[in-house]
Amino acid sequence: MRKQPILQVKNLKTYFHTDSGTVKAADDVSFDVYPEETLGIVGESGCGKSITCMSIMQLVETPPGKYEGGEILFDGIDIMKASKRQIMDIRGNQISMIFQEPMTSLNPVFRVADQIAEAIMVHQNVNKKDAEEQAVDMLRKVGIPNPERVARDFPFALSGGMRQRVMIAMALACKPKILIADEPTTALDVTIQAQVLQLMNDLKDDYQTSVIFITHDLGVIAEMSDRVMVMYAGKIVELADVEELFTTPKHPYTIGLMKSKPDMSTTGDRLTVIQGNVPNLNRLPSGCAFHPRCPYVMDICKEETPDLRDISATRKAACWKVFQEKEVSYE
Amino acid sequence: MSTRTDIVNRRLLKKDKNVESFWANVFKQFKRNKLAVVSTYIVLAIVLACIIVPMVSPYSLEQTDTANRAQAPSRSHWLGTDNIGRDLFTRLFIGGRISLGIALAVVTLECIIGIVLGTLAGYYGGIVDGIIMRISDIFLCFPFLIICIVIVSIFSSGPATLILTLSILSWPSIARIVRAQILSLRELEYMEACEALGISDFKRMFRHLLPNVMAYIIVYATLGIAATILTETSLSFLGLGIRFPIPTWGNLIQPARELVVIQKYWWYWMPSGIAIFLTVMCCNIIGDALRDAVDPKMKR
Repeated sequence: MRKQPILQVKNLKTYFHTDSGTVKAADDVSFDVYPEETLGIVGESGCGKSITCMSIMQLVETPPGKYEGGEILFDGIDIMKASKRQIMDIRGNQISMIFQEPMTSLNPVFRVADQIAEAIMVHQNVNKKDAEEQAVDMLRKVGIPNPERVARDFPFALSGGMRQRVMIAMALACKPKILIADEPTTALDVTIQAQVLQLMNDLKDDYQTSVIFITHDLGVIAEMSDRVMVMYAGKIVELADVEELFTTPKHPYTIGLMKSKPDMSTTGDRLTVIQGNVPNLNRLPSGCAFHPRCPYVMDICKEETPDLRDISATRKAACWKVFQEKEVSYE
Repeated sequence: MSTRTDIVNRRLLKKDKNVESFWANVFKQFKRNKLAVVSTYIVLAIVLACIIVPMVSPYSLEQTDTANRAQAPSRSHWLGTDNIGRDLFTRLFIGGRISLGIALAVVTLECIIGIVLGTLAGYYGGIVDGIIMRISDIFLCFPFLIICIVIVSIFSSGPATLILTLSILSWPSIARIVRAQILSLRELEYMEACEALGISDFKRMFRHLLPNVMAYIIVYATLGIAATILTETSLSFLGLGIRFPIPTWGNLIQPARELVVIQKYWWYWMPSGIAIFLTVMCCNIIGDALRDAVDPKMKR
């Protein structure tokens, strides 16, 4: 029943050339986003999640960043080759983004309604008054009480949760086809987190938007996503439907992540951790980048980098051990 | 349920009164400084007088009255007459019009040049920043008086020449202030959010970044007006600025170059001296008060 993908990322390479070497923040990343699905991206800090998504929006600052290759196909356009005009037209209109830090993501000198209205006026041919009415409507939709009044407030009068709702309102104001949410709930406290996630889920259905959801919180991923993409050191290591991934993780890194999730039923023990740290991206180990931390390391892991292969119709992984097991099971 | 939300809403509304915008807060802080408030009234009074007095005065700018030369202040000539019998009270306020007008024009022009170049430099950084800042370095190196003398001797010394000269020589300082602010502001997340919304560079610079710098610009402009009045008066005093018969506060005190005038004809130079002193001091006090008011660290 798979539909045509709405966004195709093929072999995306975003590198940073720094004095201490080349940092491959997104290295040969390929994935598809389908209409109306939520694709979760998980991984530790510095594994390239945000850079991958910023590349889709062409928001990586160049220099120091550089797009070394790949294609990002959206709506028949290769974003990597699109003109500035085309990209500006896509940003905020077709693909929009919510950021991690709601406290600083709104301009302090403008009223809330002005900021949302501006986002609308950039992409739609409406006058200021209509745009402001739409803005108030959006505020109502994101569950802000008394939207007429809040619309006239300056951002500093709002709490973090309210500001994140305003950001969501702004991002959805032009009914984008894809919404990229870069850790939208990390800066919020847990009860507000739950409300914001619920809101995003509801709005996603209302607007029939695909969501790319970046987070390092596995609980949030389980709640939000249809499919999950696990990234490590700039590469995708596993891609699967959310249930599959949580019940039978294949890649040792995913297994490690699942194990290190705090569990309400066990008490008193230390949390399981994945030994070691994320490698420095400009001094990656040879072969599979995960091999120094992998409990199942084999000789081939130290020499050759595994590519992302299909291991069933719905999942992909990049791990020599997984490939071997699969071959065994075929025989 | 509805009553409860009503109560909550009412509470929110009540709280709303304590929430003030940035400018409301600046205004409140400014009002606390009584000296600055008095200064504001004085400046307003001077400006009003400069507008009204020449309109209602029975004397005109160049009307000479040789019968009444060098008269001390009297009922018919409130500030006396000069050596060819022109009414000094009228000339003082016409001079004020020109001095204040020039100061305002210079500050406006210099702010426009400085803000545009400073914003471009801060926003784009890199080579654009390098070029603009080196140009500003060059302008800062110019020996001010010598350039003025050269320009005045090449072109005529009218108000237009003076305004252009002063503003072209003084834009680098405001450009630097704006650039420094933009440099730090452009890294904030809301600028990235702006970019992600597909808002153009031009709008991001002049609609989103600039209002955040406005407070500093206003402070600078207030202090700049005081400084420009002083510069203009010194140039006019030296004969490099506006020349007779057009009066300015600067060339009205020009007769004081002669000892006789200082000793015997105090009404030639003292009123314009006091006018300069009052205006400049009040502008400086207002500027200082504004600087304190917009500084978030000063909030008590």
